[in-house]
Amino acid sequence: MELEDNIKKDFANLMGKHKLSLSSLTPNSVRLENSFCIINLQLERGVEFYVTFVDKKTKREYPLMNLVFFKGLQDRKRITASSLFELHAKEIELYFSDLLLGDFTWSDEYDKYMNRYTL
Amino acid sequence: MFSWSQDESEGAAFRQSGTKFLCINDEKALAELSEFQILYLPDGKKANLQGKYIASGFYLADDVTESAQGAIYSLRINGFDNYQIYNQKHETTAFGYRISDESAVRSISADALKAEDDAIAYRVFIDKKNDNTGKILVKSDNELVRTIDFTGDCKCSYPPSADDIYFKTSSISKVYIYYYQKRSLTIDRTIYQNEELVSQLVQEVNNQQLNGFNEDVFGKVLTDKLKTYEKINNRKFYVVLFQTNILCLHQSSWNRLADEVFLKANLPSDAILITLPYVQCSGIGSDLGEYFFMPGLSYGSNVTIDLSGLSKDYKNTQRTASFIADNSYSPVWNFVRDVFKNTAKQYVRHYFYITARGEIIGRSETESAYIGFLGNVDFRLVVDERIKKYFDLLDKTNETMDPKNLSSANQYGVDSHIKARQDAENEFNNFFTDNPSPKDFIVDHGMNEFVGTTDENNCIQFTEWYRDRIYAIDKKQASPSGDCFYAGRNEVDYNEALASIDALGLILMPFNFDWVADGIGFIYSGFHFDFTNSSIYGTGAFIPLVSAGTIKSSSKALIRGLRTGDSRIIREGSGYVIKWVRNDFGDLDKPLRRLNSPNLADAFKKDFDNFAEATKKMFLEKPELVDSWKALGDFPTLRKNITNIETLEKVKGKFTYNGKTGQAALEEIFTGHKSAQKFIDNFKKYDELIGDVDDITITGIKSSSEVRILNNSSQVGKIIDGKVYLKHDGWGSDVLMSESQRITILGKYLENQPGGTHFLMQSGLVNKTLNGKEGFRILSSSEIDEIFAKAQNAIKSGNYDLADELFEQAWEINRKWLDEGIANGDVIRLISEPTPANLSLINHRGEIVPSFYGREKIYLESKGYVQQGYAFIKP
Repeated sequence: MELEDNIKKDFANLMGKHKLSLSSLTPNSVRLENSFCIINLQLERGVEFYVTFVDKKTKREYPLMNLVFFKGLQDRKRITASSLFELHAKEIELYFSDLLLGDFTWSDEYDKYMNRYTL
Repeated sequence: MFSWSQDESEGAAFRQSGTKFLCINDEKALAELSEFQILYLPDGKKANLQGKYIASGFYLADDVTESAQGAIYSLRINGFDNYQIYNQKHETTAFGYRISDESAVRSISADALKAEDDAIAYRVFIDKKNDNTGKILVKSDNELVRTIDFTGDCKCSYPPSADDIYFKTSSISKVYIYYYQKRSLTIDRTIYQNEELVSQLVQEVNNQQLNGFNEDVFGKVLTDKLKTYEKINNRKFYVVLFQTNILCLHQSSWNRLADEVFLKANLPSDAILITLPYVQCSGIGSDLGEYFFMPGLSYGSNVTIDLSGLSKDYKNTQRTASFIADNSYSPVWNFVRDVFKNTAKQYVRHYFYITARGEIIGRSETESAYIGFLGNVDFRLVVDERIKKYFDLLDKTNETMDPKNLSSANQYGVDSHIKARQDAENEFNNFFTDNPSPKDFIVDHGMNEFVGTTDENNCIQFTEWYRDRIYAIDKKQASPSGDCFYAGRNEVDYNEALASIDALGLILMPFNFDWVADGIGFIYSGFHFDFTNSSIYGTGAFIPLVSAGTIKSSSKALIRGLRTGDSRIIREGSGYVIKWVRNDFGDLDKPLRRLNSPNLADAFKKDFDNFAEATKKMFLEKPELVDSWKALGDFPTLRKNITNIETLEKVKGKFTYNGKTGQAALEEIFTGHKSAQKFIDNFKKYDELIGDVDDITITGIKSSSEVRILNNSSQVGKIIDGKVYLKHDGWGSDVLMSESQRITILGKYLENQPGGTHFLMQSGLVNKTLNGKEGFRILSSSEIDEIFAKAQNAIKSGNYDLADELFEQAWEINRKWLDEGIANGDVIRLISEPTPANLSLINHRGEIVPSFYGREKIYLESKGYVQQGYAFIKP
């Protein structure tokens, strides 16, 4: 439950603003969701933190790092925070809040972009 | 927050035919609609939402109740839809959750929503297109004041059938609702639409299909009942449990969930399915129970269940996670038991009679379509009590035959002995003249305690055990294991303080079934659980123990030999004699005795005569090989191949099928198998490569040659056409094993999730020696684990420099491991798609850096490797 507690603390602002509810899936993964979007948060081996968005309407998954590259955010201004989780909460708030409002209108463009990784 | 009413119903506009409504599942549209706070209730009154609640569902313009048209159907409170509750006067009293037709839980009363009489109120109409989009039309006095576009409705339907309600959950439900709302957990009215849950329950059904009933879950008694029911009635009974974190209070949805699972699992028309998803809410009082079940029932068209026999007030909560019906109190099992009880099934009566000579006469009758639990199988045992005197006399006669009585006797003694012997023999021969009338009594066997569990084999076992334990010469029966007959607990079992009874094996084994051909086939078919083809139903049968002539001419040792397998009864003229069987078959005695059938013995002897000398020697040295020969009974050619026989013998201990293991499993799967030789070839490959790996078992199906590799009942791999595949539900699919090269597997870790290296490591096949060398290889290092733990603490304490240093240490170990694979010429297989999401991450400094998987890719590229398909190769 340590992850859940950390998420509750460090994602509090984001959860309040976007009416996100929280449920624990496993000790290492937590799900946040509102009526538009699910955010799956996975902590790997205590040090690697992965974020995936899911469009509730289409059930499609959009990993955060894919979106960073798709949106050309590789060179964005670096965010600092007091914890790995707060850092990601800020990252989501700053660059991906449109997803939390259900805006996935760019998904066709995303598909075209991701084609470069398809065999 | 909550109030309670027994006389209210949540529902459509007063549950009349012609009720129509729709819920909107579009937050933006609902937010725009929330500008209109005064809306109509279905009874025509006005409601003020006060900025606290969101109206999410509305009755349609063509609803049969005029006052309900455009009125509120549901309110969204704390993120969840609450539905109209009304009283018998059709006045809207509240919004809340429906529990059953008669009861509901309130979330907000209508009084609390009361608006001023002169307030301007609006009606909301929904114009839905076929593509799940449409327009919300807000009207005041029929004048359109706003049009709002929306996408998505709830697709719910109403009302449910009253027959769907079997559980009385009302007073408990509100506690669970409160628990869930307080924690912002999901309460889902349409749980049957949850594909993940449906899929998990389907998996549980598949597990039961593969492994049979789980006695740990069902308990012995219920398991026996269900097994017996399936055996006699050709039906399949599935009960699947699964813990979820979604609460659903609508009982009709529970059944719709069962329907979904039934369809997705592709269950046949003769199947009965009970799904038991449940939530655990720690801390809910012990008087209510922490476990809330959502039982659903679904069954095929070829099944008849008298639903009127089911109660309407089963409990669906319990205090503990103990589900075992016969070991602890478990309210949920009352429902499961009653479903079984009210399912149409055959009524079978077994009558057994033990004559004065110890012969057993058996007769069974069946009646179709009997509904009921108690008494669906009835067992009556009657004994002619003259048997006791008859066997005492037999014992006495045998005593007089013992030569030691003469060893030190004088002439008088010899004469006395001969006279005693003649007297005993005369008395024995005249027994039925002296005791002409049967004296029958009914055995109070106690098996009616769980009648419905007594199958035919069980009755035979009991009858023979009873005869031999009470009356036979030695009056002893071994009781090696277990406390149940095959089909049910037995009261006698306890009364006699016996652990178990193995009478069938003890009594029939030495007979070798030589006299089965004499028309007494039901024991044989019963022994092989072949009831449907047995001639037992509706016919009488006769089993001789020993005839008077046999007894007269047999020694006590020969009779005792029956128990140990050293002697057997054979027909001779019009009677039976007991003969020693040791060496009857010469060298083949042991293998033929294992076959236990004259027909099989003849077939084996023919094959044996044509075997090479080396093969003959193998069978003589290892008689157990004949079991594998027997398993291939449908394949006369394949069973002549000693390699096949040896292969089956080797893998037998690891093979499971249809809830059986070992020999029984082999015999079942090879009966009618569609591709037997290829199947055996794959067994051989398994034995060569994986046979020595602990905790791994195998299974298969009749229609395919594929061997499925299991670890703890979960499939972790397969063998097709001699090729071993490690199961991988992710990018690139299964990992093919190479017999010449080691496979180094790279990918994302994905702790405890399918599709990552962590999941593959749990297969039991990775980092293991397969046929003398490592087959699959994934980095697993306790040193790295310790470094990561330190790095985690360093990040928490803000010591980022130390964290960076630790990551480099971990990478150094990773790199060396990779170098070993490169030096060894390993196949490098990737199991995670090399996308940014897998190759990079945002670290503790907010920088985009390569993940460890990303570093591995970069490193291999620096060594000249290039990606080709799902592998890295060195051109």
